[in-house]
Amino acid sequence: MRYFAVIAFCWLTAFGSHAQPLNIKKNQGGLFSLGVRSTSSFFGDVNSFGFGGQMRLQFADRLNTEWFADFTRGNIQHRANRTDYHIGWSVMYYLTKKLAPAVKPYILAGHCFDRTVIVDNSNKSHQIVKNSSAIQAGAGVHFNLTERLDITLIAQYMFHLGKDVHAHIHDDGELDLSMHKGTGIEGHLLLNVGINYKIADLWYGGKKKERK
Amino acid sequence: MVRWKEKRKKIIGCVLFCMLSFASFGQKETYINPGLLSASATLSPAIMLNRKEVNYYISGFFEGKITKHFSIRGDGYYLLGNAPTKFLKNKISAFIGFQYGYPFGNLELYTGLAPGFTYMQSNVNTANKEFNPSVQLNAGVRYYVWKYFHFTANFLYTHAQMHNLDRVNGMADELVFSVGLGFNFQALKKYRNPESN
Repeated sequence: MRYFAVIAFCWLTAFGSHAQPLNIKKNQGGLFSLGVRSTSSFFGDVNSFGFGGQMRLQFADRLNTEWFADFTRGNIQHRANRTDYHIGWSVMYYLTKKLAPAVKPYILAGHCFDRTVIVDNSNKSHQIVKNSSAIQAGAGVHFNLTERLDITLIAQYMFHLGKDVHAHIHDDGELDLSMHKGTGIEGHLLLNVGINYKIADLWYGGKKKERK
Repeated sequence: MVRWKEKRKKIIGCVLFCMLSFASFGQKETYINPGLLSASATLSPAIMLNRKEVNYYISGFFEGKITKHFSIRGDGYYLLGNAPTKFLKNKISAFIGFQYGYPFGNLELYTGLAPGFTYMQSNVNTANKEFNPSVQLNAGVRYYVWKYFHFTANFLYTHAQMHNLDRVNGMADELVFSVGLGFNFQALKKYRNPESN
């Protein structure tokens, strides 16, 4: 009940802020937004699907940053499952200076920390865990529905640095989980579709004080 | 013959009266405006797409209109008791996403997308309980009959999958159908008296 009250309060607060125009200082620096997204991973060992969230803090008209966390799960031929956790950030460079055109494309690059867990479905204690780091780069586009609200599509390639984990199913049906040590690079394509809401210009309050 | 003619006149009269009152009602007051909060709870049958099974849920949504067309919407589903022969034993889903509506007076056609989470337990292995990411695509129609009520019909596709079942396909995608009465409330004062707009 307490969680419901907190969520309802956040919802109504965000909703209430819509009634006010999006006040910004001189440029778009300071714009703070929150959102959720669905994530799909392809071309890795396992195709997986997940849920995530992000916040964005913009520093200049063309420069934004995105801080995200994703949780994805995939299936390895119904014999094992793979869970990935990503937490990281990206720098986004917009190809236009406009605040909220209908279509706002950008390129991005960033870094993230990740944790991978592969578990044997027939024996939960038979599992392998990897903590590593990754870099990602790609492109995205905001579809601005209003000045505050946008739908964002992102395609980015993520390179995982360090150890690599795999599940092998042998011809006799035996499942083998293995970790390859070294400085290997494991990559996969991430496709995200998300919704994002601009809460406020965090620098705007300072401007008001200056004026007084 | 005379009685039938009289009866027909009465029926036509009633239909015309209903249509006129309905139309004039629709012209005067439009409730679909920014700031409209809507919510509903109902019983929803669901067809599993990977199995020949039907499940029943208690479903509900809460929605707030950002503009006349766009809204943020949260959905929740709770699986009602299932037979032990069925794949799912327990399932609870929660989604939050966006929705786009095409209003025609107080009638609205809409579609939306929402990512979310699903908690699942299968009768295949009741010891296994999973928490998985999921997503829903929905489409539906709503008619706002008064400033506090609307009728709603919603079609929904949800994707969810269990990953920990050994040698069992854990796909649990469903088509969910719901019809019911919803409640709505205009949160913004300037839209509370639609006649004045």
